[in-house]
Amino acid sequence: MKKYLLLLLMLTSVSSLFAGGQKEISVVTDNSKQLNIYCYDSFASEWGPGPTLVADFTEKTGIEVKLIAPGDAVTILSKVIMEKKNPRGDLLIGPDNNLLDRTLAEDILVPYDAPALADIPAELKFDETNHLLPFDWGYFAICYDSEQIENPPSSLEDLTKAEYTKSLVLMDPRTSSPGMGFLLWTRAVYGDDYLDYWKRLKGSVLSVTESWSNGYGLFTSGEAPLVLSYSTSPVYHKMWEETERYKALAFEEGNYLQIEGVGIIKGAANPEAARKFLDYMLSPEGQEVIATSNIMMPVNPYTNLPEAFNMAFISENPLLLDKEDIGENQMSWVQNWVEESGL
Amino acid sequence: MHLKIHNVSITLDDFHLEADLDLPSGELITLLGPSGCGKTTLLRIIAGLYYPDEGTVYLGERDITRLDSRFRKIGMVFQDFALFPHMTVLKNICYGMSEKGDEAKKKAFELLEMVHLSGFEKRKPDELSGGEQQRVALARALASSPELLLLDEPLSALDAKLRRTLRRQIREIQQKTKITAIYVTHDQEEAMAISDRIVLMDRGSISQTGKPETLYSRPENSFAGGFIGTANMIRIKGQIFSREMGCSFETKIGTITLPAPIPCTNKKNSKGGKRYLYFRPEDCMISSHPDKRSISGTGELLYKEFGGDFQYLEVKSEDGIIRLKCKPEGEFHTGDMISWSVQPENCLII
Amino acid sequence: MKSSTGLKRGELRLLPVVIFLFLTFYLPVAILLMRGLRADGNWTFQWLRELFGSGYYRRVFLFTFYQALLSTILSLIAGLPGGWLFSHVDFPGKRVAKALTTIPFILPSILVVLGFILFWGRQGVVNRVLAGLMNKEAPIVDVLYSFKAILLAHVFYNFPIALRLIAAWWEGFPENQVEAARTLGASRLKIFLTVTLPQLLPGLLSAASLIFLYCFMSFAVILVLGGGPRFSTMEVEVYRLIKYSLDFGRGAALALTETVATLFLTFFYIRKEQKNVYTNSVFRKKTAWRDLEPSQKAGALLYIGLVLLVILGPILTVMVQSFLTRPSRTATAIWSLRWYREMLSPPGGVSGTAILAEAVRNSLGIATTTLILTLIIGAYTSWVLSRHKLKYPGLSESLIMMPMGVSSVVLGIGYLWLMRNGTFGNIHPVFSIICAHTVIALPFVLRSLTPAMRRIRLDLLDAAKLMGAGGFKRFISIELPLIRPGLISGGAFAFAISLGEINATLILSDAGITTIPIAILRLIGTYKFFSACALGTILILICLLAFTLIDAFDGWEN
Repeated sequence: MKKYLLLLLMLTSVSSLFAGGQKEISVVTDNSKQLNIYCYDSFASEWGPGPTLVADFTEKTGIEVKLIAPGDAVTILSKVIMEKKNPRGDLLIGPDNNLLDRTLAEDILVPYDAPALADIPAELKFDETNHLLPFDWGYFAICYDSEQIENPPSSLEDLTKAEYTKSLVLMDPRTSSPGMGFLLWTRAVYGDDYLDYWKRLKGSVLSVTESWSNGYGLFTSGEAPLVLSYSTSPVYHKMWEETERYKALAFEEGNYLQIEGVGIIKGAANPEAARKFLDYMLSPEGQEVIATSNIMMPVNPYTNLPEAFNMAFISENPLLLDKEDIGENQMSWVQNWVEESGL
Repeated sequence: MHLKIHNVSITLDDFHLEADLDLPSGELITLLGPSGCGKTTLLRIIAGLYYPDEGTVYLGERDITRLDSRFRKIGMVFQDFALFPHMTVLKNICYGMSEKGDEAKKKAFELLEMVHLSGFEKRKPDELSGGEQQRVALARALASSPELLLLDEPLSALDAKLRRTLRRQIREIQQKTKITAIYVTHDQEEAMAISDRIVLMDRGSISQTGKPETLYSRPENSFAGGFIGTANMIRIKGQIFSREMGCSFETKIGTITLPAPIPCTNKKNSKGGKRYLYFRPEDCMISSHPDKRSISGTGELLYKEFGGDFQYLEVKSEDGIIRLKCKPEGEFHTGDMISWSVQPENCLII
Repeated sequence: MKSSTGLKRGELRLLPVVIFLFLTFYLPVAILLMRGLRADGNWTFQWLRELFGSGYYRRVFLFTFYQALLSTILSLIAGLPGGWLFSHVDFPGKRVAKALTTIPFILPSILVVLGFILFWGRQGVVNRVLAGLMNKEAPIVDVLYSFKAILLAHVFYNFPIALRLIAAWWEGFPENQVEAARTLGASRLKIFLTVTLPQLLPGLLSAASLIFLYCFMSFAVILVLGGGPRFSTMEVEVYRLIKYSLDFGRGAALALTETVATLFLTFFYIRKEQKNVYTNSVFRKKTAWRDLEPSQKAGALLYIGLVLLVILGPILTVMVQSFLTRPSRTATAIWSLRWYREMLSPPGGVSGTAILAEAVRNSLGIATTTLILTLIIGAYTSWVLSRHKLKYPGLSESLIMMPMGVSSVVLGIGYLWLMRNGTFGNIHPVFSIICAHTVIALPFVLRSLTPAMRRIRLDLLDAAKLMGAGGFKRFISIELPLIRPGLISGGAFAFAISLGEINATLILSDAGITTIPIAILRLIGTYKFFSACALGTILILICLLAFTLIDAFDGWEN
């Protein structure tokens, strides 16, 4: 008998667990006026900019917001494409310059000439049709551990030197956006000879991880002194750990840009609210939240930034491949890389 | 409860069973036969674990042929007891009872006392010896006050001495409760010892039914004759000429002419078929001067065995071996020529 | 057979399960896989032809087989001594040890990878200890970022499975055969090789096909620990094509090929297992630890030590790391709760403890519901499978076990496709997550229930029937208690799988539901590796607590 009692106890405790959890969510889903935002998971995360942005925005406008984040930027994009005929979201946050061409080709967004665009530097406005508006940016950069390396490399070419044997952690372009960024970077610098560069680089590579998280984990746990990351990575360590141990390197050939974009979904139920949220994202206030929790550079030059952002360099030679070129050739570049880089 | 098995037949893979039986109430009936004779199959038909292809099974007035075994009011003791390993003795016994709570407990304790296992109620089956498990299984089978008790070789997993004690207990419990019990065994000695009635089975059919004494003294066919006890069987060739004054027939050991007819028990086999002259070894004597009324022969002594109050001899004959069981008189050696004889009134034709 | 003990309508009784699986598995997966056979609205073999024609994919195919085969063999070798130990010896702490072997299962792969790096890495615990002992600077054991690392991680994940399956088989192996061989003068080795091994072989093969299946489907391990794209498996390619390139045609075609291959493997595995179920449940008397010979003791200790090193090493490192802070690379580490504090204080106004409480509550709620659901469905299904004659038993079971051979990414995306409009669109994410978890965990539960169900002697059921017990009572009072060990280990697996599942959860949660693994992923995604270790520690502790509870639950009646 005792065991049935225990079972009953377990069942009731489970149902009570859910009773609590469900209520919160159902209150939100019932509201038809709410703004549905599709964003990548780390944007919506408790540690990302999403919750703070939403709280501030709702306080200001009274508009309820729901963040929907079923994965990374690519997953979100595929979800929006799937729902093309019957869209359930209003705003799409996440596609970067690498996904730009694909996003535009699918015709899932409507253009919006946001007032804030006037303040944004021209080189960051990566979509002249204004379907996808930039909201933060950074460079892909090689970061190094200053406690392990005294003379860091200063160029892509330097990376191939014997002194960096098995010292570099890269990411797979097929599964991570820094990985793709680095591949495009080599493509931008070396053109059709990019694979030759990769062959020279091979000796320096310790591991090619599937995600930035795992790769950066290798780096911070001391496995490798060099890692592919962002120009803004040191900002995080300065801001939250108060250390200048990890530094990002501006390379002589230039650094490849990453610009993250946001756009209003075609057929959105609530386009007005979506525009308001977008405006808020691009305002100095919203930009500050995004910059400090995403650890990326703001697109709005009037944003107040903590001092730690001085740790991020500004490249004299930002690199960006033509979006049509990317759209057309990306697949074959990656496939050739997989088959011939020897990694 | 009276059990009637009417023209039942079943085919399982390459095995075929036919049975027609009428079993009186309150008796212990044994299904006896070598392995593969169909006794367990018949038992499972009675239990409702198999349904027959044809025929009817009646328990009392009820037709139970296709009744789910759950509702048959049958208690069964399985060959390896089938005690539920995860339940205590008490729970095992109470499992099928209609009584609940204290009443069930009280009844279980009574049953435990009856099988001499008081105080074992809290044990699990794996903490019991084989004999104890067997008695728990018996108590469990009786717990639901069944109308019929089935025992499928209940003692075969136990050693010889324990078998003797337990079969006596089973018999006593059966007589006390006056339940109709059907007992399956391949051990003829066990069957003789405890049964009111034996159903002898052979290769899927019933060979003979009757009291143990009848089966022993008046077997109706060569299978019954050969299976129960030891027997001498001499093959009869051709016709038996039987008159009021006597009879005469041909055998391998020569023509036998007798002043009186010998009873024939094999009614099924009156025409054609193999016939035998049948007699028990203990009716066979050593006699150098047989009288004319008796059947006799002489042969070489092949083997002898001393058995305390008797001696057992095997004598060569033209039709195999003649077995004798007689008083331990006279000193014989293997190789000696021995004359034997048997009185016609001790013989049967089967 | 004329036995009246259950034979009819097996297919009919299987129907509810099939309907459930149809909605939660076949339909979403088929929707996705179908795309591998379609282009521009027409049926086509174009994608498949392209795949088989490509030298690259052929290499991927071969490598997938090769690594799975090698990993399987190594896992079996590693599990064999443990199988003997668990089935033959009672030693103190056996239950704990058994619980420990499930741990690799529950950990999200990110955490395993982190643990591996911290433990086996160039700067990891092993290398630092060895370097300290040998007074050298350079890394001494260089296992990671190579094929060796893949094998090591696969053994880490799979030898506990081998151990458990082999132990279960060995337990049912009649000891009197060994005794008979001993009386005939055979040596231990000869007995093992000629008597035990040939009869364990079916069990080994069934364990092998299961492990092969997992290694065949292996994913994160290969991506991270292999160290480069040269170690690419089919699963990795499916993931890449579907999740990143949005190339559904090619991706689905590859997933289809993979599914067919795994379906064959599943079929083979089930055939092996069905053929070789011991019908008699044996109560094996186990040797007490103190009665072992000294040499056996030494061997067992060595083995246990190695197991602890391999399993506990990476896990403990994660746990210890979560309590350590190192001001700089050269400074000595000090104990601190810093990472826990940081985990609990996210930027903005959200309360950190509330987040943690919600994550824990969601994870536990989903895992417990999954556990109950899978046990109910699993017990019913295994009852139907083992008490009924089906026309195509092997095929039916393979179809039910099929979720084992489909990656959770495919399942998750399939759900998304299914729910993209109308009919299924308004299903609450909690339910779709629970459905997905149930489908993923079901094969594991069935795996541990069905053999146990088949092992029950039918005369026990006959006995119960004669005492008037109906089918339902027999099921509740006889079958269910007798398969309890299976229920417990299956339940533990289901619980653990649900706690650790991340791919489908992430896709389906829509960010509305944070579970512990998702929170870990998010922490790692925002530079907070050591906070992730902290949360990982909490996850491990929850699992251990759950297993201890389940064990206590188990112990109540004995």
